[in-house]
Amino acid sequence: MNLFANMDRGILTTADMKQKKYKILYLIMFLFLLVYCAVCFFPVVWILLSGFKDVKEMYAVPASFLPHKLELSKLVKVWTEMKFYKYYISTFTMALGSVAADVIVCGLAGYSLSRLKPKGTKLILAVLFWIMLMPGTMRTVPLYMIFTDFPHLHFDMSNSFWPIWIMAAANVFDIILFKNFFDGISKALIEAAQVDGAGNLQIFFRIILPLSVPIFMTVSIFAFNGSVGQYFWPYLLISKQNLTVLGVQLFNLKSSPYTMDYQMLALLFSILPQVIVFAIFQKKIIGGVNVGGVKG
Amino acid sequence: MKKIKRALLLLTVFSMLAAVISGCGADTKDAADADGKITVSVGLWPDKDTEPKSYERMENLRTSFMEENPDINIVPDTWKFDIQTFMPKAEAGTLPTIYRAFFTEASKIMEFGYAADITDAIKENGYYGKMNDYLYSNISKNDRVYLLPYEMYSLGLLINMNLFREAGLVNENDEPIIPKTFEELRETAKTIHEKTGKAGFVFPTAENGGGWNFMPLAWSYGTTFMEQKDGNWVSTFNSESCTDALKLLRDMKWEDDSLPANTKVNNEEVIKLIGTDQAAMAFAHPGQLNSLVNSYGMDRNDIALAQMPSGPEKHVTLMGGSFYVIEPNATKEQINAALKWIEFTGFSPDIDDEGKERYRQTMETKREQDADIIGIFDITVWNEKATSQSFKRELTNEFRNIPEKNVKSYNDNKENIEYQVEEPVCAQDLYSVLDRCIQEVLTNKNADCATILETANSDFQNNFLDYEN
Amino acid sequence: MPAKAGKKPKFNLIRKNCSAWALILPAVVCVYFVVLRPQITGTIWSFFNMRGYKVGEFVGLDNYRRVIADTMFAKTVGNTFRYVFWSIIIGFPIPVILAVVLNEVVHFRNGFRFWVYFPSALPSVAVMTLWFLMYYPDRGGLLNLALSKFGLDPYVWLQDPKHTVMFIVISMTWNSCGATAIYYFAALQGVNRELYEAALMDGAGFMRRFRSVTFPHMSGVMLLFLIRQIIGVFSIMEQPLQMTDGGPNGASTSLGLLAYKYGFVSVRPQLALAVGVIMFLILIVFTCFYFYLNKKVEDNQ
Repeated sequence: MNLFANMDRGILTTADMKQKKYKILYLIMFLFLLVYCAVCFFPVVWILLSGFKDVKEMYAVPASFLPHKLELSKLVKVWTEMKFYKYYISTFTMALGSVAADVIVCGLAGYSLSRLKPKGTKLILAVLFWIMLMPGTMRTVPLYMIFTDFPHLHFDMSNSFWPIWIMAAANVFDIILFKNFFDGISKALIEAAQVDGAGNLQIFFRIILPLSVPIFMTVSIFAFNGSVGQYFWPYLLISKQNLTVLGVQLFNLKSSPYTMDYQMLALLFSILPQVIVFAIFQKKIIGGVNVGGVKG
Repeated sequence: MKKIKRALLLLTVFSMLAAVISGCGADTKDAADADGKITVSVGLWPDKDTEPKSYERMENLRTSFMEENPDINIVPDTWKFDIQTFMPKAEAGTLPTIYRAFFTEASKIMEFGYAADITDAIKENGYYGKMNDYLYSNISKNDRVYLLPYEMYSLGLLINMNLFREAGLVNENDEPIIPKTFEELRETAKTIHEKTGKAGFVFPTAENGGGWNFMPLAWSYGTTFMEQKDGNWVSTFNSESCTDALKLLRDMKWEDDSLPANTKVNNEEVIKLIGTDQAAMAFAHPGQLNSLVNSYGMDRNDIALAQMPSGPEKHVTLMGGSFYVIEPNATKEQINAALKWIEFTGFSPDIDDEGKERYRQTMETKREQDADIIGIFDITVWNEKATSQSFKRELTNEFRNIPEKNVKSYNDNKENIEYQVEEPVCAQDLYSVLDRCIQEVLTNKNADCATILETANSDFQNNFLDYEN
Repeated sequence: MPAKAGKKPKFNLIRKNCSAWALILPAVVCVYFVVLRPQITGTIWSFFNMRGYKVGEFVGLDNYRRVIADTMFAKTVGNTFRYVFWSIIIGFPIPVILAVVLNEVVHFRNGFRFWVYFPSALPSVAVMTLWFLMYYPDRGGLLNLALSKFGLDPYVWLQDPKHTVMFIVISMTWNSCGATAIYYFAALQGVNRELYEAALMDGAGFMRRFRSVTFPHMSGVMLLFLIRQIIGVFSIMEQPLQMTDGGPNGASTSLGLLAYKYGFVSVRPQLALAVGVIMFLILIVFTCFYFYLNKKVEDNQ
């Protein structure tokens, strides 16, 4: 059996592999990937193993990668002692709210801009496009001022998830993404529905939505992953204990009263949601990068 | 049919907007509510979930206070002072009636008018004149008093007895052999590192902790950080004495290797290093010690607090603390009600039998809960004219849970040391500048202390002081 | 769209627009408050004095003068460009190499793709904490543990002021280069096979095929990513905030972190705004260039 039967994508072809120098080149590339993947996952494994050490063991000479004993009960202990269930609840509240805000607000806007095209669509699209261009370096302080003391109405949104959700809803990139997707949906279907007397919302829910499951999935997954991991705004705006999210907990970890082994296991608990989402939706996420999910 | 749909749609949009607005409605508060009660909201209220014990204690106090004073309504507010949320709250007028802030913020709070004038109220209730004299300059502006000192602290030398014992630095009574001067501190740290391999001394370097701890060290070498010349603030720490103080740290790091390998440490991490037996000495005040027991499970026998060592010029330590502030829009009735509440919680210069009983109960709960360290005497707000002082001292001795020998040096020597408050202007900015100096000295083996301070001095003048003039 | 018979067309038009606007309205309101208003007020307020977060009187260019006269400013600008420099040296070539290699290797392709992408699936705050622990300057850190296996003394990593920026960039690269590599990988799928075959006919070796076919195909996308990366790294703030707090002695303070410290630590928001505007002006040049290129690349494809 030919090991290199289906080399049809890259520079090297199946024919090349008969030559020794290309076999060696292939081997080098293979090893390079192997090493690189090790670099990608080894830190996480190290964190897991070191988490089971106690503090004295970490400083033992000679040092060892493996802990003396793997007590799984320590996981439970860290989970309960650091009250992770609380952080999970608040983090999921924040993240699911963000996903909902993002998908609903941006989805509806994208639909309207793409399909209904009310007067002013061109202007709105132009503004959105320019907003995407603008670096956000000076927005932090004024935005903070808006959230802590809303202009004219003078209410304070700190210590709630509203600022996070509003920011998720104001995702210009996703509006354009949705619009472009809806642009691709066949006009004939919609016109047929209109002839049947369906209203805008009806068309949206009966025709557009079922066809747009992929885009909604992609946006939801990326919005969820992005939201679960955020810490900066929650850190600035939320001081209430029961609203503390995983990201903020992680940010405060190094100056928290917990010792290094606890910090390491806490780190693992904090990345668990993303790892699970990634494991389940890996095809979608890796494919979704090409839709434009990459961060700048 | 269509109309209904359109109405539904509009409803959705409006309900979303309404939710946004109502979900975060500001607390509105009035001086007097419907039944004519005076409302006093109290900040720093313990959180029900995370501090259930203190929460219960405060709720009990609140109930009994409102029974005794039916015309006053105490409203809990969990907000605690931090500089980021403070300004917006102050501007929006949503500060609690009483809150507590730190001495470093005193001048800012008074200057920006975020505190009510309480001069008449405290003259009336007799507080005025019973506070220690050195406090008045820090709590008043143009001879009017705006702040009410709550708790004072002074820095001492925190000692991990485990490492002291391991290095043989205890006498036959298990008392630590305390370094009296900074030179001795250096020697002690060196010995500990040689004998135990652990850090002899840890000095914070991050989040302004380094500058804060550097104050007493430099003062005792004779440094003045700033002076007012012809009404202008001039930065003056490019001096030989300050260089010597910084050199001490450099030598401990690079010649003795008695500081920890990690040179990015904030105040919390300093305590962590002591609490996990990774370092033997640090500057700390009594309030920082409780977490040694609570978070790191240290035995109280293994904790000691000594007096700050003396330097070549002076024997001085840093004094700081927190104070009550009454929000600027409070009415006269609210101010008086607030002071009444403060007194009820056990804060007053004089103490009656009822107060004594309550204080005893507080101490009993504290002992039961076994969370705090009892038995360390810090400097106090009240002077000798106040009757509560001796009573509290007696009671503390009765309920003591840390061995007296471990804190003797800190408790007994209150007269032979000077207490200095933090610098009057731009203290936090000065700390951030000094943080950077200390980081440089501890990360760069060939750092030249004099040059670093020369730059830092002109930086501080140029970046901060010039804008105060 | 044709108006239904029997109804007044004009009324229909308004009605149609109303419901369509209603769908856009929430997004427009959110975008206004989150993006537009802060952008405009931020620029205006940078010319005003502020007390806490309350806008005070007009002061002209005073805030800018103070920011630029701040002795930390020049150093911070230097650091920011240092971040950009290292991210070009380290963060730019690795994804390109990875993508090409991923495209060549046919075995375990899905497994490799999974693990290469894995770090990008983690939130940046977790990655920074992870690397903070790996870089830990005493024996507890992974890298020092590895050094001790080779009999070497522990090194201080992030706390070495000369290299702290580089180490931060390495951790950022670990975090983000998987996603970038996958993007390049996708671009590689679009290479015209016939070009390879033609090159093969000419007897071109691996390197020549790469140079004459692969590289020209990717270069547009690479340039786009390069500029995008420069823009991203230029406004870096969260990473040094978390890993070093800008230290030691300001060696890793970026312009973004400086603005954060003005805005939220020493509470002089007017100075944060001035720094923000300065960064904005520098970045807008890059951004315009990016979109100019983007259009060109899109036109080519």
